[in-house]
Amino acid sequence: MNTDDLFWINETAEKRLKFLADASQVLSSSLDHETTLSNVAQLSVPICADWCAIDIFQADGTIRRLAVVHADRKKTALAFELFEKYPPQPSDNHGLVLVMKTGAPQFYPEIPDDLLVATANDKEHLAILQSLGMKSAIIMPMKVNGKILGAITFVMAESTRHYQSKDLDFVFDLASRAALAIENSRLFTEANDANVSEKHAAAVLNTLLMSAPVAFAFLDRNLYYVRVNAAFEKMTGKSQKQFLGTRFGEHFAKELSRFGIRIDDVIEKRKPLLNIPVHGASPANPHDIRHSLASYYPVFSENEVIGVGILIYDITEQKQLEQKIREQAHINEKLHEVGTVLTGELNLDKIVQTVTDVATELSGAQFGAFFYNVLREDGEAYTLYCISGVPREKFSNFPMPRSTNIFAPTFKGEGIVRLADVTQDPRFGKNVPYRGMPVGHLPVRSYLAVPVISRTGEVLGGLFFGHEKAGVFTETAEYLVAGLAPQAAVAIDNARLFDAANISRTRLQSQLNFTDALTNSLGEGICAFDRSGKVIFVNPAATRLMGWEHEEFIGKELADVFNTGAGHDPSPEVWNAILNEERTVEGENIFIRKDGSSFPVSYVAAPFIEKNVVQGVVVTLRDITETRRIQDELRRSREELERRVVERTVNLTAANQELEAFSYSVSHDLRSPLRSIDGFSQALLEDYMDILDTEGQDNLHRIRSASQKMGRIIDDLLNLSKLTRTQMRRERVPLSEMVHKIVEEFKSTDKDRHVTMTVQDNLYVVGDTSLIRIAIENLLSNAWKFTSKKAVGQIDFGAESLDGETVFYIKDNGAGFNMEYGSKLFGAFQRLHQAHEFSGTGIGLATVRRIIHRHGGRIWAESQVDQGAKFLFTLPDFKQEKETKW
Amino acid sequence: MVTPKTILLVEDNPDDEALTIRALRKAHVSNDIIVARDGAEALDYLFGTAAYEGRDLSHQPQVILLDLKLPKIDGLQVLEKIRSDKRTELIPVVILTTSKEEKDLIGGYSRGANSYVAKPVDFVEFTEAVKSLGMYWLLINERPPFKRP
Repeated sequence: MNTDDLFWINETAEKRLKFLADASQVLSSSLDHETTLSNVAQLSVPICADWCAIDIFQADGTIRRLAVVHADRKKTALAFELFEKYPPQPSDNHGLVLVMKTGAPQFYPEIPDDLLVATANDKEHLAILQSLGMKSAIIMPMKVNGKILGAITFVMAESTRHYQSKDLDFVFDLASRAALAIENSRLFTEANDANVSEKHAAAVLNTLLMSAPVAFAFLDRNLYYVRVNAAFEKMTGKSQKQFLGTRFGEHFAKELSRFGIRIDDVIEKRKPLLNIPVHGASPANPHDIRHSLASYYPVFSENEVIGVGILIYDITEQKQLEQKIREQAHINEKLHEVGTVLTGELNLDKIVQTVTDVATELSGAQFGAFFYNVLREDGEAYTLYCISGVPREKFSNFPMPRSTNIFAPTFKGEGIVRLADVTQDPRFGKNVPYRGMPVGHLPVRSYLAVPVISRTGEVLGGLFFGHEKAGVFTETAEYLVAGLAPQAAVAIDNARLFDAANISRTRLQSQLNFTDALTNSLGEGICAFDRSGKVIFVNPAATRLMGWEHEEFIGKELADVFNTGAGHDPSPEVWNAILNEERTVEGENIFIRKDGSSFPVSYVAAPFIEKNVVQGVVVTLRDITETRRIQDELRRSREELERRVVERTVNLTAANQELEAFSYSVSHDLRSPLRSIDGFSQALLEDYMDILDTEGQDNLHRIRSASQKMGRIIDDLLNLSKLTRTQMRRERVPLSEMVHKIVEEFKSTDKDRHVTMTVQDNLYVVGDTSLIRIAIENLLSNAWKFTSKKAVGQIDFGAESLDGETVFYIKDNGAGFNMEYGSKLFGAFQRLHQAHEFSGTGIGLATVRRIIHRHGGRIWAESQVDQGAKFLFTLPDFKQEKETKW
Repeated sequence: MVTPKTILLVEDNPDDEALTIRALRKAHVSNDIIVARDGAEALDYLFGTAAYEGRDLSHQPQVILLDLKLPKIDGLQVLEKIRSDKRTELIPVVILTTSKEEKDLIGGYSRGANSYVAKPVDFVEFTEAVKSLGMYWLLINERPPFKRP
């Protein structure tokens, strides 16, 4: 049997109906009720119970066990034995006897041991009871018309199932049918007994039927009413006269089709229709719905069906009683549930929510609220509330209820207020600003408010319930909530005490939580060891780093975890230094993971001290694989760079040396032949003057002039190459003063020239004085040269600010040049003028540019042909305030 | 007896040799001019070795005109030898060279050169330079007392 079948109690109504139909079939199969009831018991196990007993209450007050069925036959025997050995005593106030006395079912959702102890007669009895392993039970009386005929007992044991309150409904149905079966069988027996004398029998029957509290009617073969009794008249609200001579279907056509009653079958198949549940409005009160069980018997005479007997049992009262019982059981169950929750719960929020939820449900309220006072950590009280039945948002816009006339009795703890319609109460609507309920408040008519008062008399809060319909809250509801309130108060008291005791602990805990969260979220591994070197704490990062599970990590030895190989820290010496000298040790190392792979770590090992004693060592680990990799990469690239620099330097040095050797050789070897050419040309001129004609002399002059020019070119070239090689000094260079001096020199060597010079005073730069002088000299010399064809030359020197940068300029009004060729200006041997116009070697501006560039400056020119030229350059600025630095 | 004042010209370039002698003669310097065409020859002359074996070493030049770029032993080495030998250490040495390189200037003066003249390309200027050179070292300058070996 699979477990799904076991939990029949959770099965669909359809399956239950199927069981009930099967049971009815069994019950109606025979009028021998003892057999049919035994069969029902058989049918019930194990679907409805682990064992089932059917007992008959006899007229003498004894109880006869009719049937016991258990899946295990041995246990069946045990149950019989138990019943015989320890029969129920009239003095009992539990179980079967209680059912017999009260007619109310007994429902045991749980069968705790103390219940067995309470019911057992002696130790042996108790032992047998305990051996049965009962978990849950229902004892349902079999009643007909208020007469208790016996009881059906369902017990759950081995399957550990438990009955719920809703199961009562079902068992009640079964018991009712069983009771009817017994009653029918009794009636039949009595009728049979009466058969002895026809006349006597008729009289008995007549009396029986007509006076029976059961509704009875007799139809002839053609289904015409022949007789109805008083109960039938009462039930239908019609008199016998109205029935007689009418056909059965004329009266209850609707009901017949609704309940599926096929009365023709009774006659044709000669079989009774038994215990068909029917219901309908009472003729006296259309709001009073009556529930009944209807049975239709074929009436035989001489083995011929001569008519149909109809018996209708009104079971409304039982139904209602059952409903009440079910409600009560439900309430008990809920209270039990609440009790369990409340006793085990110290969380205030949960307590109040549970109480509110349960009270709202049990009171039948649409919604409930619990306003309660709590103490904050700083000791101040304030009011919170919880809501049940509707979302919290429905109330979150409203202020806390004030101590108005309606609310005051609750908040002052004066008593319960239960109103069928709060809006009709004289206290209602008397307070500003709302004068009743605030706009948007859920409509309340039925109102129930119960104060929750602590054992010390303090009002802890109030439970409030509402319903939009009037008159919803019954006395039961009030009683229920009133019973719940003290339970809640105790729970709240406890929770408060607990909270108060917990406030300091909470603070500590929050500190711990913080530390916890911190160590958990840290990327660095943290591992703590006790003094003996055993791991007592690791954070998740450490487990990740080392590859150990948290559980296997804890308790590990230092050497297992920090498997650092021989000669590595933390060595025993270092360990002892940490423990005994309270030293903090930092280092880097290679650590080996659980799987044997290794990784570089940087670690800090520090003692942790509590109560002035070093308790152990906390080690913080960081995986520095990535750091190492970056460091290695950096180191490699730095080495590569250094290597390249060295290579470059070697190359440069070699190139420099070559250049130097070249220059040296040029200065000697190139100049010597020139000197020879010039010297011997002169010798010719001197020694052979008389035989040389004018043209010959002129040619020799040209040779001399050319060689001298080449000499100058060589000198300039050498100077230019020297510029790049000489060590630069950095000093303060008085530019304006320098310009003055150079121009004075020009003027003194070229006295015929008329040149107007303007010089902006007090301009300084930082650089190598001799190099800068060469540059300035070149520029001024160009200006001087290119203004030579002007009647009055104009040369200006100054500085201007361009985009925040100081730009120096030397401007002339000379020949200028075409900007198209400007790019050629600063190249060596580039000349923009023909030699006969202006002399020059074409090296000057190349020299100037090289000097400016060596100083980190820039040079450029602006010009137009015959409009003069302006050379602009930048040089490291010399600021007055920086003077001390240089 | 007046010791004839000779000039030792150390010059490997025959053109320069001719031009220098020409310039000296132009400047009316009639002294004997001994020409050594490399450093080794100059030293042989000064110390009476090799081709000059047995030369009277009491007769040393009034002034040595020394080129720097020389075959075999270069000018600066020759100067070093001259200055490091008691017999020659006081002889005035004028470096007469094409180079204007700083290192040559410093190299020359630091080894005890008495003067440094860069030969200009312009022969007129060259003549002027040699003229004043001869004037100074042969006529104006008093040579140090001759030291006997």
